[in-house]
Amino acid sequence: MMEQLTYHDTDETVYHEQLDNGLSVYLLPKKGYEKTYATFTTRYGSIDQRFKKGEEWITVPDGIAHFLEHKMFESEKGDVFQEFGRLGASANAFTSFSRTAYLFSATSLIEQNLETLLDFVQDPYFTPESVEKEKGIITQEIQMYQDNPGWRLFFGLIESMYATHPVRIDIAGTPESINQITADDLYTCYHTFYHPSNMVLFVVGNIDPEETLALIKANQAKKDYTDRPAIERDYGQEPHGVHRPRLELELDVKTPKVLIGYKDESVRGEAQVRRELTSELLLHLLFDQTSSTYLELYEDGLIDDTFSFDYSSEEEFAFATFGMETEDPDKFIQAYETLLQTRPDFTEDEVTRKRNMMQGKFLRALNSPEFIANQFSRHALAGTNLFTLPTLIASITKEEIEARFDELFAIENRAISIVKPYA
Amino acid sequence: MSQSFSTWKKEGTSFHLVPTDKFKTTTILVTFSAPLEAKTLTSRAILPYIMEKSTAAYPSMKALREPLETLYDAGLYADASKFGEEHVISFQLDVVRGELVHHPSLLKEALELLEQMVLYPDLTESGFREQFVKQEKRLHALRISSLYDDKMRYAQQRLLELMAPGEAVSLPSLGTIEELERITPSSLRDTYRSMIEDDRIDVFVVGQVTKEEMEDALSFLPSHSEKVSHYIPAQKPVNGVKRSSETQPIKQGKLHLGYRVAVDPTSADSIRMQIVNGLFGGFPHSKLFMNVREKESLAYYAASRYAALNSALYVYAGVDTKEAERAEKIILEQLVDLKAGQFTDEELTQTKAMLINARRQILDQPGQLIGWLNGSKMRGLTLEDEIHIIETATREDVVRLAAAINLDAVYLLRGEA
Repeated sequence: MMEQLTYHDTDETVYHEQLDNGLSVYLLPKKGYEKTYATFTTRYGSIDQRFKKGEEWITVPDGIAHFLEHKMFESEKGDVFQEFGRLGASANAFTSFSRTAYLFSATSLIEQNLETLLDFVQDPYFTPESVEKEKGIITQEIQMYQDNPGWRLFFGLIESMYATHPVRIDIAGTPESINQITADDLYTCYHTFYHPSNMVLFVVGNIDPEETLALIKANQAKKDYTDRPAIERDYGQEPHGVHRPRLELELDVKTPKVLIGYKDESVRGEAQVRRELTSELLLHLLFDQTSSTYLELYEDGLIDDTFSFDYSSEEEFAFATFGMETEDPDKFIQAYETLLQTRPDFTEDEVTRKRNMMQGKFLRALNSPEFIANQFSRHALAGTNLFTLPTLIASITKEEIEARFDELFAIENRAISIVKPYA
Repeated sequence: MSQSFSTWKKEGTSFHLVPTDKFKTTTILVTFSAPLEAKTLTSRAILPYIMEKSTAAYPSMKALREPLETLYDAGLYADASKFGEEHVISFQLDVVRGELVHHPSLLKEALELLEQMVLYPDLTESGFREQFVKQEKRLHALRISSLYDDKMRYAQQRLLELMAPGEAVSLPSLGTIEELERITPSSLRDTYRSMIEDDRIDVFVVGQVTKEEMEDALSFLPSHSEKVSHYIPAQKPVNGVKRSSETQPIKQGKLHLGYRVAVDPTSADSIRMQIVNGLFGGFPHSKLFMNVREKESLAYYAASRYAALNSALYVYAGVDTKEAERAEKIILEQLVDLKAGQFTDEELTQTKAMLINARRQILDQPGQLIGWLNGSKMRGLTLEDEIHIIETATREDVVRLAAAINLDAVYLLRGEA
């Protein structure tokens, strides 16, 4: 039975059903929208490189989830992009640390496009020749990122924070690691992680939920997914504290860039969503232009428009980052070390203002079908619900935020990444 | 597709309204346009960064941003950009619809802040405040030098300079360090006054707003005589292929090609030219993607972009430097094939379908809607007109228009890491 969930504080309704083969389907009709955007997401990303195949634990080459994403677009009939093109849709895919998502957006022929999406992701086809050819393309993708200072800064930090957890491996792998990938490896990963019970289908836009669900059900009923194997993954035992407190890298840049990270503990379920939101509120309170210290930092050249901060969390890892472009990274590091030694006194007014801001930010994001589908799927795969955010934000207290400050900013959890010009 | 648009003029300002209740927000963009000139560009490029930080009544970032946070993250930003041969300073406000957060006066309160930012900047007797100007000049110098760190943007800027040395269209959008050094608090005030007094003003609104409400909400804008537009650069003939390259310690080479396109950017042919670009390098089914990437495995990206306003078409690919020559040869061959009509009916149908899909999707994003309204005003065509032109374009149109594309310049950034 299809479940209907209405969220009054966002004026949105989501329809949900878990099919017999285990696939979770979510539908969100968006009134007045021209386009329909659909994502088909598996809980399988770059960190899943050690898992159980039958009775045996195996380790696959770095970058294979991303390589598999590329190769899924080749079918026995030819190139899947062409098929979407014929249907007037634009298709794409992306691989993150813990997910791989396939998507299209279209303004017509939604039924055919949806069938195409389901069918190509559920029909792997790899040959040794086509696998070899992809290596040249992905090597150029890796090289492009190698020249991107922001990417190198970010991965320099992750590698420094984590000693063993596979989050420290670049999502695309290296030219050497992808060179080892074979068609058989791709089939192994595919059959382990692309079972419908490990996946979520989200369709948002100009749709009728009843008709859309009927189509999806009929499509899935034609395919044989009787067994439902349990997936066992191994992320190793990540030690406490950071792997390496500081990493400097020379690149062809004019301005040095610094990024500071604080490795955090990750919890499960709604507790993690709450922790994520509390951390975001904390970072906003500390670093927004309205914070009590901003003006002083600004005048000392320690914060400006190039400053940014973020809190990332998945089921297996979590960390806060902030940084900027600066001629003097060490002055920046010293200043923030001092700043974060003592918790500032936040006022109730400030906290209320930040809660308003976060509510508004969330509502604004709901203009975007892409945001809704991607974020809803992320939550659904972690067993949480995107539309609980307004209620959660409203319930977070000043005391919780203060407690977060004390937990997060421990020096043994801090790592620093610097990209600077060649000497 | 049944979205209505309206455009009208009042007291010298052009209004563009898209009334709709499908978004969670109301978006308002006010633009000030002036001729693009080397001597004013840098000053106009830094001005919005200063104006968005404080106003006379809200004399610090903290004072200005606090009410915006309380108003549910109302976005209020100023920006600068090039548009053909015009320079545009814009002020954007986007705010959540009041009824969603039980705050009916939300838009009105946010508009008050927009008015403060545009009309009452943070001025002293000697101009903008010395300390802010000093900080922003330092930051702007950093922004200008950071262009070097983004290799794709850097290579594109070098290509533009190679195609049109010394001309307005190839001026770097952030300006230059030399001009930046000359800026003072009082020279910036002159730039601001000139913007208010001399610029052409356009206003764009997307949201649940009526014509009367819109005029009323923006009645604070200065009224003046009607200004003409002068953003369309003259067509330039091609005179042999210009070449340039340089070497940097990077892993991937950047190959950028610039073509001149002899098509009037205000004509229906400029819409049809999107089909030619689509067949050449606009999509994953295009010739560049299929041949440079899929067939030869030479690149991760190899694409083309038609810049109608500049009467130009650009191709860019990230390749192994050793393979740059081969990649260039394949790119050139793809256009030769197009000119000879070597493309299938299926490729043509596919390209049209993709372009129509992209146009319909414009209606689902306030920012894209405003961008489309702004870019299409020179043609006077509706979105439906554009879709009709694409649908009815023929194979002959493609061949005829492909003949109007001529190679002008090739820039290669070599990697030697």
